[in-house]
Amino acid sequence: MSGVAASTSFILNGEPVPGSVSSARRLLDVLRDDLGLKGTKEGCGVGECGSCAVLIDGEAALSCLVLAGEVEGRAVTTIEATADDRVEAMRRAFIEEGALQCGFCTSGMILVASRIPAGAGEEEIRAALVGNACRCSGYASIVRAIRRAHAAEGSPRGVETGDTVSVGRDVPMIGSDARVTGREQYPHDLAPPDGCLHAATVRAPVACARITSIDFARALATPGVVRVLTADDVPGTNRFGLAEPDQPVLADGWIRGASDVVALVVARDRESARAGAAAVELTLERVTPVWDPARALDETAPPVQRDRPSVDGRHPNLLAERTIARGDVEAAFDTAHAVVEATYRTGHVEHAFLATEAGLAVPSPDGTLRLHVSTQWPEADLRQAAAALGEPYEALSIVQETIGGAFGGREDISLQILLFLAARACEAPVRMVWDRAESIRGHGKRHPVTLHHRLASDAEGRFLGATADVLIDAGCYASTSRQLLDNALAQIFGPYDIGSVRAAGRAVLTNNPYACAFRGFGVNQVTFAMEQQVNRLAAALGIEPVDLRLRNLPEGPRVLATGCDIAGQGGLTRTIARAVEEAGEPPNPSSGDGLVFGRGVASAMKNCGFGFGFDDAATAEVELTGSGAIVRVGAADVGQGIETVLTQIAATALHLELEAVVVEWTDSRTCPEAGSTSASRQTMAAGNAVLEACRQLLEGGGEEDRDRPRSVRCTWRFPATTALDRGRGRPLAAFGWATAVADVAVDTRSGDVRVLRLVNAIDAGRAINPLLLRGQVEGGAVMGQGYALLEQVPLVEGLPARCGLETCAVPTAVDAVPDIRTVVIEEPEEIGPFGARGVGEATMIAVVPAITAAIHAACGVWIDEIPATPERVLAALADARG
Amino acid sequence: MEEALAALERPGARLYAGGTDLLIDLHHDSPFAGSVRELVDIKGIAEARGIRTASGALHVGSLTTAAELEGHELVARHARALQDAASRTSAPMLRARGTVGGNLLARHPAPDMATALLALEATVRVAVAPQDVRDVPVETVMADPGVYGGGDDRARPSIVLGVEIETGARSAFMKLGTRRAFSRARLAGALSIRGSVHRVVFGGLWDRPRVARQMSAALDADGDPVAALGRDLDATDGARERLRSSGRSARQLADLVDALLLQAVDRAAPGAVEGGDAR
Repeated sequence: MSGVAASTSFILNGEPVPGSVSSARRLLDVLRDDLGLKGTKEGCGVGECGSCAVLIDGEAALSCLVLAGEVEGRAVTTIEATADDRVEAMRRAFIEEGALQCGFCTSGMILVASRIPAGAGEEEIRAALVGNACRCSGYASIVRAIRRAHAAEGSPRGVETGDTVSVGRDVPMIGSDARVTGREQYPHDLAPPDGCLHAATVRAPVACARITSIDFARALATPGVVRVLTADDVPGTNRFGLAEPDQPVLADGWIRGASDVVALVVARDRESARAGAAAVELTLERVTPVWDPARALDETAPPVQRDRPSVDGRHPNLLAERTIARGDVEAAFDTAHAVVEATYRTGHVEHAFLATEAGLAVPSPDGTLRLHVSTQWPEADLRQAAAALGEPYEALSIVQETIGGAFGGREDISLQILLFLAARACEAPVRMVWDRAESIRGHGKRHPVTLHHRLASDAEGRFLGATADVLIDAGCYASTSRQLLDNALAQIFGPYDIGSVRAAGRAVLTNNPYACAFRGFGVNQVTFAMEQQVNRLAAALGIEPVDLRLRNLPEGPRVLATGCDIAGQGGLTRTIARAVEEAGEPPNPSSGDGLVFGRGVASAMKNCGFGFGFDDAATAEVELTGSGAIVRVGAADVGQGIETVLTQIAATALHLELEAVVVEWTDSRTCPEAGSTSASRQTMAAGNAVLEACRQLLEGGGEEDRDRPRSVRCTWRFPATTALDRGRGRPLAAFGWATAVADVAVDTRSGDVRVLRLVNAIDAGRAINPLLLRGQVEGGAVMGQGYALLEQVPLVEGLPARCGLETCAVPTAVDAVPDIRTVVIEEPEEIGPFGARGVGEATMIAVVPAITAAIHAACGVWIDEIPATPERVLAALADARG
Repeated sequence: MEEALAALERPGARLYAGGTDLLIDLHHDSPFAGSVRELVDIKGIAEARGIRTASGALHVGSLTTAAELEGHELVARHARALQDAASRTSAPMLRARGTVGGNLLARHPAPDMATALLALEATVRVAVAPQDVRDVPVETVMADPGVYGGGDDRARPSIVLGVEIETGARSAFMKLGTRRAFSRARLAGALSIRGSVHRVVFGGLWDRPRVARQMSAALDADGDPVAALGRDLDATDGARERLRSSGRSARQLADLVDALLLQAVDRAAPGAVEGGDAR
């Protein structure tokens, strides 16, 4: 490079870099790979996420977009720096405010935050953070942390020495120190062992085709390439899938969707693997695709999976069909005073966890394989991998590295089986890291849903009848779409008492990206529709939306409209009352200049635990060591803080100080199965297993008996549930409850909607850790806001177009609502540990219909398709004007 | 400059300034990445730096970053559309790297600063040899950025040194993206008014931003701008389709221009200040 030497040296964290480094490499790569400073993260590599931020001569800069040669002689500060007072102040404030969850964005966030001038206002702080993406927190706690650091005040949080009751206390997340200093280790940060190989995938340029040939001669001739693996090299079934094994590890004949991998190239370094992958030549024959779920069952529609048999003569693209019918629906509508009817639509949404998929598989001398990875459900991964590869289950194990966010998107397999396969085939350690584009292409998306809904009431607003027809785009593979359909239908009419209902749902296969679990698991879509219907009806009848809800919410144990027995509705009505109270006075309707204001309210329920007859259990082992306790439980901490929560539960149950308890959850060999970290189940499932083990340990013994070393293993199960059987039984065991109130401003000239205030009231049963709970509530609220107004994955013929955080419209600090108010209701859950219920998902569900209701209150139009983009708002306004 | 131009003569040499597009292309194996063998860092070229006014024009060096434009008094006075665009470009750390020159040459349907420069009818100063520096209309440069960007399709090595904007225009810029900030423009509009002469530019309707000539003329003549805009859209293939895919109508596009007009007219008439860097 002109004017820059081939090598360079600079001052790093106050010390000269020993020797010199290549000037033509990205500073990010030099820091991470050459100098071993792994605290600087790569979340996108294109300047969109800010995880790689460092300070260059005191100014924040993206190390992915700076060449090392450009810092010749300059001072570079990374998160590992120990002598920067402003960085240190920010670290402490982030911990105290709970401004970190998964931690992947934390390094860059802290460094950028440390350069925001003291005295900066809310808007200035958010504007400075706009290039730093955080998917977990909703940004509110980060802004509070910055203010705390600027004010240099605030008392430390935690539990005082000698206090053995930590449940209910604001305990900073375990691992916070490592996250704020860059020491936390994600799979990307593992040092490759000696002889480590690197893998890269080969993907097709289309989402639907027949593979005529795969020519990898040029790939094998690429310097550094040692193996090219295709379907012929997969020794087992070559099939996996969380609920049904229909996805090929490596494509065998057909490309059905974006996530398909055709071949895997293994090489001595990452660059050679990528070069080899680019050299693989595919010959593809175009086949007719299915993009539109509404046409997927047409007689002329080709089967998405040619090897999927037709059931009962139905189209093979029909993945699942369910119907629930109770009462006399026709009579209910015939006698109704008012009927509201609309069709609702939602789209594909990207999880956008900040840490992309990465892993390292290592063969052990005993012939087994160890995989270092991040996953929500290690045992499910292992079961699928064993079958797909023809390996004994015992031959495979997983070590969880720190999980950089999940939101449901790490429940399905991504690169796990590919890495096991490569390590076995090459008998060497194999590493693979996906970049952001591959991450977006390689995992599933939130289910797009089309839902036609009718709701009937009498003149006083008593719901008489409702119908719903649901069409779910499952994409190219089954994943958990059948289960999602059940979950959605069971809760489709919410918690309301409705005498007569009929709901019919279908999940169909298309060549779009496969749809998978995503915070809310189908309840978001149906709740958006139901709550909008309730608000529509309230408007039609001239009844306050809150009053209308309360009229249709009988207290106590009862049967939902869909026929599901529930033990009660927790503190739902209290969440309504408290949310409205906290919201205060509604905004004035108009300020002129085309700006109009409105308030909306909506409520939500969300199951905790899988239900539908699944044996939903968690096992924990608690060992008293004489000086404290070790808890072993394979519950994945995805950034929500389950490790901290379980530590608090064990410490409180054993009457120990927090520091005396260690929770081990990362090794599938030593940590008993706790099931998936999903379905808002882990606080209840793992929490109860730990609590029960602790109780058994102390049974019959006195306080002094705590010092006698021994251990107990306990399994806790959710109460038995039944299949979704046409509106009978108890398909779901427990629920979280929430109400949201949103205040918005709508610019009627541009269609722009701004959320000014969001109150999110949650019934947590018992707040085991209010600090972490608040983080969940705020993070869920902003994820809901993004879903309502911004987020959608643009697809071009089944492939995500220009894959990035910006393209998928993941909210920035400036987009996120500035005024989030969290209200926690504690109506104890009978089967929850200390009365706690899971709330990870309920936090976002009510937010969406609350925002669309607020839009209606502001400008008089109902937005029935989300996201409510400016274009959709303008179109609705134009329609309303006729 | 001489050294850089000579270096750009070498096969596989590629000009490097802010690097916000180039490093991404290189790292993510874009089609041209394999042909790049050498980066020519031009950040040391003095002629491509600085912001000043002289001879009735605002001069902005091509290495000027968006962050530098954001708070600059001379830019605020003489090229508000450019300042609006700079302040709405991406995010702070990218604005500290991304340059005027890079944005001008970006192959994007609606690059923020380039859209504003087109409305301001900027002249681009291009060095094709140490003694051969030419002034080229911004439209010419934007029509064929590869020729001027030291790219593979260049006719000969060249370096964009800066842009020159005649003072005396009121101007404004707006864009519509997927997010409130840090969003590529799906649709962008810029407007300048010099006396009674209007110049309306849209980004996002074609492969590169373009002047809406019929609409501009209609505004000059107090005609029907919406009808004129329709003629602009019909003058090229694909514009109406792109407008439709952005979810907007021609009427809404005209509303955007109304908003630009209001904003531009509200702004005080720019003074004719001569001088150096006012920062």
